Amino acid sequence: MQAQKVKSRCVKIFPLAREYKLETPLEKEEVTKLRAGDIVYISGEVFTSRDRTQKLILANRNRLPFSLRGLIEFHAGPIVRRKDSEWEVVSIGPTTSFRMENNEYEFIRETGITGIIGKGGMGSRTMEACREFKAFYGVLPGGAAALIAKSVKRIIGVYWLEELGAPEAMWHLEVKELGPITIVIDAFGNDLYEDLRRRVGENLSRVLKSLED
Amino acid sequence: MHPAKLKEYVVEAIRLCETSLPVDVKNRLKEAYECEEREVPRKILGALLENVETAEKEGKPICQDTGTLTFYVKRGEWREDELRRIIVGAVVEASGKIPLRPNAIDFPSGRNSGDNTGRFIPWILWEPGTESLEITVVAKGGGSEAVSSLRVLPATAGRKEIFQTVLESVAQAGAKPCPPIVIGVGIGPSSDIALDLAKRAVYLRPLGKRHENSVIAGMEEDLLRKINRLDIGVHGFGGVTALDIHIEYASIHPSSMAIGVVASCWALRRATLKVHEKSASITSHNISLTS
Repeated sequence: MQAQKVKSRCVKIFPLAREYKLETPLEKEEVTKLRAGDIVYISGEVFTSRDRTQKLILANRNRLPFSLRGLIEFHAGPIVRRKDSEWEVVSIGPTTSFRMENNEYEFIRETGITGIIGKGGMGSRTMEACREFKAFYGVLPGGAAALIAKSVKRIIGVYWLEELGAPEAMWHLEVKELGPITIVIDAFGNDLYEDLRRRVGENLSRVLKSLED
Repeated sequence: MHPAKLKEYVVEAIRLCETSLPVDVKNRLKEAYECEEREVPRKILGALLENVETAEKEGKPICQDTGTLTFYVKRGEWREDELRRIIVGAVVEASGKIPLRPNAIDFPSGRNSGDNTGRFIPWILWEPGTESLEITVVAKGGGSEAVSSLRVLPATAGRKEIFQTVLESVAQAGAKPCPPIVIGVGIGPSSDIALDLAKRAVYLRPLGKRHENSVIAGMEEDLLRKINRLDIGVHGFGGVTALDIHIEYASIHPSSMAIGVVASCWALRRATLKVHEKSASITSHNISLTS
């Protein structure tokens, strides 16, 4: 099969894609420079969190030994192993973010995080929270877990490991140039995946129409 | 061959399945990368390829979701119960050694077995063919599994209804199954046959190979073009949506045609171990296990 055959139409949807290297804690002024479609790399502190983790973080937010303000929430479920007495991240990649849609608005409001990374997209409540509280939602390449693990420099701490198990525990990580992260939702109400759903819907109608004899 | 030796080979097949890609899949991804002109999809495809290289070099799982392991087995001279014991043992060993994420949960108790085995898991399917032992191991994650679909249509359905079913399923899935995806379509008389054939279509045929039936082969070519016209693209950012599509079919029932649609994420993970009397190789990765 020729490669040419599977190439889709060329539509420029990212005429203005730019690249940024960001550091946490990430200030709201920095977030407002970003636009959907930009690519960013993050250095500093991030923490993993998924459905059950979010509830525990919210319930205990004043008791955590570090501030979540300006940090980045990473929707992930890592593979970890014990090396001597220390934990080591073997593979870590983004998990499906939409499972967190129900809690995310409150989570952004209460914790003061300025970014979320995951995969697959979020819903309208998260988009509203990003606009209201100045945060972004971005996606890492799904499945690129070995590559992403390379950017994890250190495990700073782990919370609720016993209760939730390794994939769902809160891992507080130091990362260096974690990316490429594509900004899907920016702080101005843009949502690339919402645009995608509309565009694919239109394309689908057109292709289905062409099936009519 | 001694059972302990065979277990060692199965562990190696699982390791290669989880930490590298079959030759055909890797080549197809490289092709997609080279053809991509748009900045964002090109960047992401580049990261995916770099990820595969890193995983191979460091012996780490390509994706943190190491899937539910499924085995397609041509048993040769071996007994089923003996092979099952060897395969289950190999899964336990591979889970600790590679390591794999513990993905087998007994849902009534909520208990995770910790070693990827449990009730009926790993899933083992016995294939016809007895000349020599051949084991294909497949790892499929939850993200792409969540978008599987099934429709049972009247037997009067034809090419148009099949196309519509597949296109709607792929459009609905959008960026969720980590595109660029590989699509398997199974057509048969009943729901179970359709989904089983769809899975086999994805995993048991190399990418780029068309069905031997020219009508089906033509449908594959045509559907692939149409799917890529949906323009979902790499992770939903434009560019190539599907790397390939395979259709498999069984004779249908006079009243019903079941259509199963299954997608694999870009990280299509399978490894085929072939065992002869004195030699063994992992043909999907062009690797000989015996000197």
